[in-house]
Amino acid sequence: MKSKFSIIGTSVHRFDAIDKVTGRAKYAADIQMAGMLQAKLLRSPYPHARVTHIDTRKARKLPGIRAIVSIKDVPKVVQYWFFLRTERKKKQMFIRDSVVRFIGDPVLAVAAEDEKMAEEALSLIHVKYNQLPAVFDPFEALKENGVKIHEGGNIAFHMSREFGDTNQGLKMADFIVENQYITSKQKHASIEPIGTCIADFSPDGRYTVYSSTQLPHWSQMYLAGALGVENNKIRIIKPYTGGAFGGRCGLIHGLEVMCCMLSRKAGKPVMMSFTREEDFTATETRHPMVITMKTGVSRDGILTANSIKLVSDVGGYGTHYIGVIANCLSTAVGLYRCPNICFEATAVYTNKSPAGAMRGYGNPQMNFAQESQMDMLAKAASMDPVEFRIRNYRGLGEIDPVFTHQIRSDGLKECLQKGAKSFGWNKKKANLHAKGTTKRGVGMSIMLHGTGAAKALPDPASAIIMMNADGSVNLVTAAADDGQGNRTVLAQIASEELGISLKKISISNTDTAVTPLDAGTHGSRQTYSGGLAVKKAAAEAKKKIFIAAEKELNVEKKQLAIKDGLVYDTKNSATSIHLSDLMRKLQIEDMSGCNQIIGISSGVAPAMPGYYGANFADVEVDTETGQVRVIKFVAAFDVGKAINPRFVEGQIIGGSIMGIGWALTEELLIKDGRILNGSFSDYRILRTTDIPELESIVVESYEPTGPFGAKGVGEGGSVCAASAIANAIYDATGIRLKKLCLTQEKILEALLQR
Amino acid sequence: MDGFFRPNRYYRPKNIREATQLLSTFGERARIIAGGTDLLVEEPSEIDSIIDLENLNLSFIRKNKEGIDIGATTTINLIDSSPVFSMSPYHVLKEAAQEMATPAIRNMGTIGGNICNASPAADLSVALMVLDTNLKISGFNGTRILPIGDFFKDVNKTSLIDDELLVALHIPLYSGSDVASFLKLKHHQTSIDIAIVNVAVRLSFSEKICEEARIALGAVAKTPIHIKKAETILGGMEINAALIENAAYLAAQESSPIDDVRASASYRKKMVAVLVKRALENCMKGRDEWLKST
Amino acid sequence: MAKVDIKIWVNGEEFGLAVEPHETLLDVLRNRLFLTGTKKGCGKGECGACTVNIDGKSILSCLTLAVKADGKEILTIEGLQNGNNLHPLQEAFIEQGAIQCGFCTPGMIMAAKAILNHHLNPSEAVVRTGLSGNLCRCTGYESIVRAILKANKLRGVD
Repeated sequence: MKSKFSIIGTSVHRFDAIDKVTGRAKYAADIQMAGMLQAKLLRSPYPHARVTHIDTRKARKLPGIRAIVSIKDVPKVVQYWFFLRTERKKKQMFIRDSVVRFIGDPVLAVAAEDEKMAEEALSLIHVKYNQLPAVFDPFEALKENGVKIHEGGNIAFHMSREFGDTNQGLKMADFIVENQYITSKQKHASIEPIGTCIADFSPDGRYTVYSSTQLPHWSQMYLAGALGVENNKIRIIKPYTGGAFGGRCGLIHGLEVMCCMLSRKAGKPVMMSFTREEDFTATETRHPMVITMKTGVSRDGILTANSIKLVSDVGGYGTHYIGVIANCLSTAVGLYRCPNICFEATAVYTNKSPAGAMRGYGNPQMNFAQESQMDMLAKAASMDPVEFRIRNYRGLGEIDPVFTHQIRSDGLKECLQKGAKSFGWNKKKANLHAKGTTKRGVGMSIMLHGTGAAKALPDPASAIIMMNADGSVNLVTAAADDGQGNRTVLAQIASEELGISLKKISISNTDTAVTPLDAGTHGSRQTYSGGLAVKKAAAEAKKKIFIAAEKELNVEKKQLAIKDGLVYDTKNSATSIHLSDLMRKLQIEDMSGCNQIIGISSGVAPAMPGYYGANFADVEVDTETGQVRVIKFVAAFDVGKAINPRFVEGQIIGGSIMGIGWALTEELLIKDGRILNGSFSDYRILRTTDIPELESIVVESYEPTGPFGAKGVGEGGSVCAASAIANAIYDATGIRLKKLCLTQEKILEALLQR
Repeated sequence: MDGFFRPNRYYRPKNIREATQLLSTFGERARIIAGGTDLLVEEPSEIDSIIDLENLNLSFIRKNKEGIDIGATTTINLIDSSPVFSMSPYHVLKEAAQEMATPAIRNMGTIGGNICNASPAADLSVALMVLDTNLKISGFNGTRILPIGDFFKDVNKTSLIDDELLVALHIPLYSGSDVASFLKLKHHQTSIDIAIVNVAVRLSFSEKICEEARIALGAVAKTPIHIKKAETILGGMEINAALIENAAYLAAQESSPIDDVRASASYRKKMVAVLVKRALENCMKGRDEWLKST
Repeated sequence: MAKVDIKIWVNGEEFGLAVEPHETLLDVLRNRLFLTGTKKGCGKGECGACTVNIDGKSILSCLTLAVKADGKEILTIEGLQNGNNLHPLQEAFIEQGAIQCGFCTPGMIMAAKAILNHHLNPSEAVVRTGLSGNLCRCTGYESIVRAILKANKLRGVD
């Protein structure tokens, strides 16, 4: 069947593919500059202490040491872009004190002629710490009169909402399931460590910063605030980036901020590069949570009430704890139709490494709890788990009571249908046989995740289309590509809207001096929000092209169209002009005009459409060792419209593998505030030989507010994998695991206790 | 010393004598390098000299009527791909080699470097132990032969003295009817891992009787260990399920694992029993197959 | 600090260098020869991003002392293409969508090259084992494995 689109729905190769396969692509650590210094951080060895004295005299005597900045000079960013909205809140974004709040908290930074000298300087610096009592357990941290981590106390955020009457709802239930779920501290572990930054201060007061941040414009604003300069004095350039997954969503005061201050002091460009160990132990992680859920269902499998209490462990500093909790609430009220819900959440500081944004942003944690509950409720009501989801989920036409998102596209039933069929759900449920000490089981789960954050957070997207004199196009956008391929997708959207071949479209680098305001690459938003901005800018350029062509061809502009760079009369295709001729005429030949056609768009998307997903897992459990092996895994996602199907598949598979890792192999282990497994040998992410039989299914439900029907997909894979696997383990063994990571020791212990 | 890995002298001795002379001169301030895969991870700060064994021609695998000789700088991949180790019971070493580290490290790392690093969790060590391997060690004043069972002293400590160098390993000749098995317990859904528990087992038969049994465990004590108690109850017996259970139970009893970031001591102890049982069952299966084929 | 003179061949070109005994091959490639295609992902041999080929074998440059590379022929990602013609592996990676952030890509391709050097028609299992030392956090590996099997076909038998 021939597609009605030229390039939408085609798996074109990514623009930067050749750079990446040849080694030409320059990531931050690959950039060299004349006179560039190397910086290193001195980090606190204590989880909670006041720095009372810093003696750098011996270090300063070393030849080759060019600058030192310390905790006293450098403000810490402790809130995120939500707080940019008002002046009063903006002031709360920064704190400046001499307290260190986690093992690894930066105390000072040194810039030297090379890395070796910087390391030697650190070893000669003497820091006096006045150790303070530390608290590691979030419930301990909640106690009154306990250890205080921040000025305002340990509660970073608290909220409580109720809809309907949960007590009544629970009374009405025929079955109630109540459990406490504990989720783990997961690390992004992108293969390029987080992070490397280069800052170059020029004497006229401008800072050029090479940062792999996912949020270039917000980083620009933070830096301007931290350094006390205007936004236009900060230029953020994003080099090629080696994966992000939310890990580059925080502005790290020890990295970008200190690098800038070092460069200003030294009068030279400064590069700072974190080691892998620093990445694991001192950069943001997923929020570990303790979630208590009490859920009621009627005899015929209809949800009557859900009561949720959540404690989120922020670590020593937080930036995203409000948004993450808001997303948990979104999961609670958005995915299922339930008349009575109460949700109480507390984000609390502890003396551990900070938590921040990570793929799924609170949804995986809530999903683990909620989809485990649903599995048990389905069983209580004697319903097939898939049937139960279909009966209760919030679908097309419905509106959630909190965020009032209207659901305009809903492919969940198709995800479940296709997923179940491909997986062999009915056959497996009936026929899996246990063989001696090996048990088999199947489990499933569903999820819903928002695309972008329109109107919940500042969520701008902008784009500029510049028509060149030969009809080729420069697409200017700040869309940050961390690997997803969004820049290629945006070019596809521009190509389709303009009617110009993809080959004729170039896309700019991400550079805040040149590319217009964008909220960044997070929240599965670039294809949707960025795509809408590109589509609008392209439409505006096209409008201007038609105005010019109308004069040229003497044809009413509403009759005109563009295909393959040819502007033609739809009623008489012989009447046409090549864009190359038209643009050259406008820009160069007509010397009284010299007019370049530019299309511009800037604004916020009209909605925050949710995208659905379903996972099916087939697991084998060795009851003598407790080991679990995922035999087969099916991940089906409704993405509205797959602009580039291969890229969509890449997100589904990559996200699923990260989700399976969170379920079975990944967890940062901490003792007395110290991370014990800060390396790939002990923080295990899946390798080629660990991958189960995996299938990804793309469903297209057509989102009417999205560009060509598209909505998001980036985070989905990581949201419901853990719950599907936990449900499968239950099916195989009768054991309900409620604490991530699902280790073989936990499973064996539970098996032996039975 | 400033605590950094900054050796400033590099030597490539032409022969063993030169190598041991250098070791004797520099003592604890020198380290030997073969593949370098342990040295560059450890990055010891107290050394200022590196002694590279590259030119000593210690990469070889030779089979003769006395058994198999392996040079100390033979890489793991050479061992894995050598037909010498395809046959029973020597394949237990190949099985261990395949479970070690990653492909590139197996290209670079050497058998000598691995066992001299003396990690209690090393994969090759238990396989070499059940094959009753002897080690050829050269020092400035001469050469000695040491059974591998006496080689490991503590975590990362061997019985090599300052001027000594492991030169070669000797595996005695076995009958093709001897069977062996290597099992490595890793974290689930994980193919590349440091062992939680390592088990190697060898059974040598005469007719229906198991004449000799060897059971070695890794990652459950300060060094790889072999379990004499369990070996004794199997030696001279006709192996059956009850004996296997018993041996597995004894092996677990004799192990002394610790809690660490990878696993708990109690889990490790339980897994010793499970893995020893499975390894012995593998051996018996191998034995039955051999009997059928002859 | 006594430097050691070494001679190495990188992508067919000869280099005479004076290196410190503790310098790694990775340091030399990136900082002295400015061949930044080979990446540092962990510095401890656990991620594979620094993979190069020496004598056609997969080698971790972060665990190789530069002095040990003396006299050796090293192939890095920059040396794979022939003028402007991409190697079948590079073509296949692009075609199969086996690249996302691209940071693991050079190491992954060099590990794949080593597999194809040693196996004429590797099975999927052989490919997966050969890549088991190379971590990727973006793709989930499926497209990468497909790419290598495709590259095997593309190169013909030579």
